[in-house]
Amino acid sequence: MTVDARGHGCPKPVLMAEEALSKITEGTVEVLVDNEASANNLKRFATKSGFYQDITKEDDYWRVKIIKGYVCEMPVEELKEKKTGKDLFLIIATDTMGKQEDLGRILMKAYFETMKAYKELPDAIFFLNTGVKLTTVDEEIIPILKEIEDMGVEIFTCGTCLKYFNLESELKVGFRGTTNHIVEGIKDFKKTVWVG
Amino acid sequence: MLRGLPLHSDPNLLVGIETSDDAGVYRISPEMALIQTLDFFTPIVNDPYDFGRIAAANSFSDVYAMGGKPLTAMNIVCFPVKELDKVILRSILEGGLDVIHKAGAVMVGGHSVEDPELKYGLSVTGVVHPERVLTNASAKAGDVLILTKPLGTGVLATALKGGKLDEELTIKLAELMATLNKDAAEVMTEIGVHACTDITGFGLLGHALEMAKASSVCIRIYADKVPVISEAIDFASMGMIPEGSHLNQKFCSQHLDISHDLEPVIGDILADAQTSGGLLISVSEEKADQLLQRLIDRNTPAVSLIGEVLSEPKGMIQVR
Repeated sequence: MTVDARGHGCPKPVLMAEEALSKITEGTVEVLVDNEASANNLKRFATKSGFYQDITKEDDYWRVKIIKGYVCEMPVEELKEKKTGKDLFLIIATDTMGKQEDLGRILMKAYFETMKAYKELPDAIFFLNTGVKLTTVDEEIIPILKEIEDMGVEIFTCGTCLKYFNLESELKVGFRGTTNHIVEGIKDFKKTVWVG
Repeated sequence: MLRGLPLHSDPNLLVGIETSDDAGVYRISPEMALIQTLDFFTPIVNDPYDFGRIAAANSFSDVYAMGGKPLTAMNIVCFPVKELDKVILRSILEGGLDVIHKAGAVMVGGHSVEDPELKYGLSVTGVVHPERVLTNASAKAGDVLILTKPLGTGVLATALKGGKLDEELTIKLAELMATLNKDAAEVMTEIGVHACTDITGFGLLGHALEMAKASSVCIRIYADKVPVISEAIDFASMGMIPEGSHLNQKFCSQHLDISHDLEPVIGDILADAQTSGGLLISVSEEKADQLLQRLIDRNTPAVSLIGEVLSEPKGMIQVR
């Protein structure tokens, strides 16, 4: 069932979704909204109600899929590996991949582009040392990271490093992070990969 | 929006638009400066009298936030005469007038236009001593921060729109928003504080960020100390968050360092756009207890020490 909630302001889309879901005991309701706030609200509503939810951004609207009822409604591949949200922690401690600098920059950009294209995403990325340049002044990489962030990856940038490089007010994507994030991340995540 | 437009400077303009402050302040004599502000919006509650009260209280708030005293108010009315009964407008104006009188001000007129969408608010003039203007640009490192009303009015107003509030909570919400910041302002000007701003459309995070930037300080907020209407947390988890609040969070994100351990809903509430919110006061640590006690004595809706002002990193908000 598809509910077209485009053109409606908060909280109408949530109310429309709620009504549609109340009419079924199990099944999928897809809600279309034209603003990110409504998509986020639907995500919260679904999570609070204990339903599976998935958001896809189309050209000028968001499609929020909400599944009510038996878990085996979900596509099999998604069931295979239960995502905990704490599977992969990626630490980027450099702005160039490998020794040769110019090649390293090309490789770094290609790495994030490939990650995005194949949707092989870490759960969180932490940028530190010269890596902080990638979330502040690297105009080629910032848009790619923004898209990766929109796909659900948490992005952090080391506050101490931003200060060191005088880039504190230049952060363009994600949030400021602290050494706490690194220490706890290495402890909590199933796998940590350190680049650079 | 105004960037690039030719603005004249004037030595008597004590507070203009540069620091995104609450109102304009213009000195007219060595002992007196005028405060000028206006505010109006569409209905957020169903009862017209309550809407009038809330819009009026909201309009006066900026005067109080600057440490001033309101003198006069004018009605701003946009009304669909063909669709709605004039009785509704009369109730709105009655509510507005009640609050104008509570503020100790006089209603001196107003202006109305026909509009398919109903809106109401006030243009307010107040006074303040030129040397005692409270801006958002003078918070000092070492200060503590006090908030005088609980958060959650944006989320609850959205839940009300969605028909999810019971009568008791609806009344509680309306009363909170219709409460003037008058008592809090009087107490803070008696005691003497460093900086103040009122919490409205940009949420606590947005207004605190304005203060942090204007004062060149870091503001640290302790999430568990921030007063919140408890039902708002449930409604926020359920997706009753107004669009403005989502936008606030996005806007603040680059200057926000929020602890990883806090639940996401906390961020939602701290960024929740408020209507007629409380005052965020930056006061020296020595005067904090006295200020808190006097606010409690005056039955201020909330009296909470919610954070502190640090010298670094400048222009940032930390939430722990």
